[in-house]
Amino acid sequence: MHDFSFDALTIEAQSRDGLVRLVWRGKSRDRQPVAVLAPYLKNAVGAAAETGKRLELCFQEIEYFNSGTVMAIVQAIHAARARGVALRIVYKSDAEWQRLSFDALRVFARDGGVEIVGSSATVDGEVRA
Amino acid sequence: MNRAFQLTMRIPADWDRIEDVRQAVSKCVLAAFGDVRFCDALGMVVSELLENAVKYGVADEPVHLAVEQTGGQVVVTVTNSVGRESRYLKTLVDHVHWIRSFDEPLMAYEAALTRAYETEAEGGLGIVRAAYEGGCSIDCDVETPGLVRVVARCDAPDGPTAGAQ
Repeated sequence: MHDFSFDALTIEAQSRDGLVRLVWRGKSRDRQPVAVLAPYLKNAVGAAAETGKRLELCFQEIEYFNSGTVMAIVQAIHAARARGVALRIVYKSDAEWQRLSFDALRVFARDGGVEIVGSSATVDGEVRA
Repeated sequence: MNRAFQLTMRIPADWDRIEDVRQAVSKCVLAAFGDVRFCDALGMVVSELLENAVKYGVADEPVHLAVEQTGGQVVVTVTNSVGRESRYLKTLVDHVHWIRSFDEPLMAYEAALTRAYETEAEGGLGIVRAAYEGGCSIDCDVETPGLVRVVARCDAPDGPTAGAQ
């Protein structure tokens, strides 16, 4: 997997034992985020499926995203389920806007295959004061 | 009527301006209310309503934004021109009524997400998100031909404001 950069958004791809991790940073506010993000996320789902890895989307370091980006995330959930890829979404639990946003996405966790987790740690595992 | 917080702007229907406005409103709200959660929520509400105005409004016609405190609420009003035959008007009215048919905004947002998942169509996700994450009630006025006004009413946080004008 390669990194992704568009406008004010960057996504760093990290591949580790059993895990493809995408770390989102900056802002996702494009007019058509699905058109921009969907091919990249679909590719990530495909890479995880082909290597038998889990996929993790990490949002702890993102500053803002619009509802179009939520749609892109929903489509990634759809793609992961279709390919049988275990998907984990991690958000910053002490940011109220993120907690609200990702709590609603738990509607997709009820049937399994998707895990949504709040974390007070940074992507690198450092716990915030 | 005395308002402790009042901000009005007329901005071009330019997508790239929306983020600047979101940040500006967020900072003003933070300065006035001192509440990070409310500042993030109001900024998101303003951004989502402006995105709709720019997406579905008449290009080259300005968008009017007002954010003002009225009693215990902060009211966000976005007004923009639309084509008289625009299908957006009916879609918007239907969507506002649809949101109101739920007991809680979270239920409406979950239903919108589920619909988006099943149909792969975004269809008004922004306005439902504004209602849920912004904790506000949404209304719209399409009675004036060629004009649409969307109003979001959010409860202001407790405590005095700084008296921004």
